[in-house]
Amino acid sequence: MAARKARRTAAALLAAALGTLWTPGGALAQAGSMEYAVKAAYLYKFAPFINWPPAAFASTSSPFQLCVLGEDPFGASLDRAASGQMVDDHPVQVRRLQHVDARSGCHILYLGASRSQTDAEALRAVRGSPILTVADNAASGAIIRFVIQDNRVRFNVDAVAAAANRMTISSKLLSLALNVRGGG
Amino acid sequence: MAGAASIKAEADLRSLSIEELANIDISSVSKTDQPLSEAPAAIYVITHDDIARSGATRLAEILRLAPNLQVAQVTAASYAISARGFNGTAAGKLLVLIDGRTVYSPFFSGVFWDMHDVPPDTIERIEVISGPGATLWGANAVNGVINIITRSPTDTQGLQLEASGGRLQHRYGLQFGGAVGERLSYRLYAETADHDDDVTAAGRDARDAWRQSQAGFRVDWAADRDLVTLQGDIEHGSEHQPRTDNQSVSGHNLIARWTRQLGDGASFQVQAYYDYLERKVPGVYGDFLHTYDLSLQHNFRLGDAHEIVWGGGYRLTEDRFPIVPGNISAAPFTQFFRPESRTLGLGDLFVQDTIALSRAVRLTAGIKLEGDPYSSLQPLPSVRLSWQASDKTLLWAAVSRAVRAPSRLDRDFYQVLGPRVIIGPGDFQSEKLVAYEIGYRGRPAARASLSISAFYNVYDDLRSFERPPGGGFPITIENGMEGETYGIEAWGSYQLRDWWRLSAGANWLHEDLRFKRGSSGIGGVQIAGDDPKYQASLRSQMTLPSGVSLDLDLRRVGALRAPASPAYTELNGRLAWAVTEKLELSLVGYNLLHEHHPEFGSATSNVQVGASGVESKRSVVVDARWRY
Repeated sequence: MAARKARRTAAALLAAALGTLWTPGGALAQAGSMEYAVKAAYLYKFAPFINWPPAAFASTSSPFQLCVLGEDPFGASLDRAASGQMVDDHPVQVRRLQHVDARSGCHILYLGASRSQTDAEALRAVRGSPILTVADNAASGAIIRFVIQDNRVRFNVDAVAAAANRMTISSKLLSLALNVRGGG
Repeated sequence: MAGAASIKAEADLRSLSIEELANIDISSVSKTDQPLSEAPAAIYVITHDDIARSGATRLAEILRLAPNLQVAQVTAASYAISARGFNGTAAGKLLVLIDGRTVYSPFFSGVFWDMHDVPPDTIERIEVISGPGATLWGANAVNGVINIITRSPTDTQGLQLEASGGRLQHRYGLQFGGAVGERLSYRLYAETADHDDDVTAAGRDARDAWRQSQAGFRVDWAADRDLVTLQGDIEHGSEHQPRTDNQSVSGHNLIARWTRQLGDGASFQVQAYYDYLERKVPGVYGDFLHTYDLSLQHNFRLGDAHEIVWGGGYRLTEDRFPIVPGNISAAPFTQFFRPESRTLGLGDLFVQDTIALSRAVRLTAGIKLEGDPYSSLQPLPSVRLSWQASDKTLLWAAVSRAVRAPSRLDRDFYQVLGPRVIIGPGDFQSEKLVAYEIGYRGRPAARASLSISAFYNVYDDLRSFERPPGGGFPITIENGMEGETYGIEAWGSYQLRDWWRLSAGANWLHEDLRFKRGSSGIGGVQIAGDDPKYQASLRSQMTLPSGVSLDLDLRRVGALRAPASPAYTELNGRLAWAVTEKLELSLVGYNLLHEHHPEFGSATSNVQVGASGVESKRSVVVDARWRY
């Protein structure tokens, strides 16, 4: 499985490549991968707290599309987290894209480092479409921005940006956010 | 193990509520859990004869003959070798010299054992010193020094052809020695060897096969008082990789050395060398290293009581470590060195005086001052006392300080994930050791020799990985670990009959390492190394009638903790028959007791990434050697 391979290679660091196999790197990669494993779990667990307009789905059973733009920091952990998960009657499907626009069909868009689009360009391209944008970069303008606080993965919510994408966010999710920009 | 733990952790994440997710501590990394030498040091000498009788051909396999080294095969080409603990594929506390040429890499302070083979027939002896040798040898001679000395061309005259092969490996060698006039002698050699894939614990092909060729020469010009040596090697190898195209390793070196005898036991030596090494993994990374080294040494007597040796040296390294962005080895991380290329200088001055306090008691005191590129000037003093209690007994004691200088990997390495720096350089300084040693060496019986040494090592500023205050990233490389190790090494031999010699060796090691107050303790103390608590060996060398010889070498190595590897017992053996004066046939067996066995981790590990779960296979080789 390509995904599993990616995770294992993440742990193997530079080391495996060097053939010299640097001692401690794996532990570090492990720490990093735990952060992203948690983020991967978040991504689909956000879904029940968001209202997508019915028009966002082709049919009642069409897939719920979780998109990763550009460089994928999750590797297999996202596929494992999402496999078999449903959002209402929509099976969760993970997609990896190099370029995104309003017609890409994404429901959640995670902004990785993309070579073809900056965060701002990607957000502009999907602005007004019912897509929950998520990013690591606090200054990105995405609806949900991950923050690390006390070694825990927390997030901020930009309700203004959500409204611009015609989405409503449940008060429960807003209450879990560290900060909310714009009234909920 | 940590990998399995994290898959489980991920599975647990799926069942958590979003509130619980917000409370997961992401930093909680899975914590799985001879002749009687006068040298006042724990020194073991592997002789030319020992090497020939063992049948070992690779340098790392030859080093198994030293009972004061820990040697673990990691893959077909890579080894973890150390003395007195801290072993790993990146073991960085050993100094290895081949005819005065340093072969540890400034990239990670360790040795790429796959790049430094020496044809076994050309080795005169290997001195293995366990314990610090920094005063004479310098940085990195922290836990031990391996000094490989090749034979004079006058000892390897004539033509020799050798071919050997078995299911797992082959080797073909050619050597020619000649002389021009009385003063000039020379040797040329070429050899090529290959090794098939090993297996993994899961029974799969380990994809670690290799092929290597090398050639070299040595020319000695000897006059009444002068010896001038010019020697060099060139090598090229290719190694399978589990996930990428073959890795290529190559290098060449040239050494020039002039020694002049000044009379009355005094001598002067100047040596210069150039060394080039390169390692390339297509699409992943490259490592290019040029080394220029100049050293001088002068020893002389002062009065009746003093023997003084002093000298100095300067080494310049130019390196380049390009890493292909987004390569699969680290994905999804991106890794690089900044700067990608560096020129580093390492200079030193040393002086040592051996003072005869009485006929039987000698005090050796010395100091080296070394300016490494990253830290401040380091004093590396040592004091050794020896007492020749009788002509059969030498007792010695020593206190020394040694340091492991920062490497490029400690100081200039970055790992990023998107815009986020996961690992960045900190303020890593030299790792420091103060070592206390005592030893006995002697001939307790007419046909027996014995050496026992004990050590107590106090380490400070060992490498650690630290989070910024408040947690998160970047993780930086610092000096947050300290601790003590102590242990005993013993070896001896007994000449049972004129034709039968038994040798035995054992060592026992206790390590007590811990993180300093305030350290993040990432990875646990096992990041420092993975060592067996004990090791023992028994060797039998029989010289039988009709040109037959039989050698057996049994070794027992204790279990490793992280990565976990069970204790194992293995046997190497060689049966040789000198058919005529010119032709010798032999049968050599490696790891005869098991089909395959792990030596450095029976599964992939994230703590010691070197452990890939590759197991060493049994191998039997037939060898034919023809001398003319």
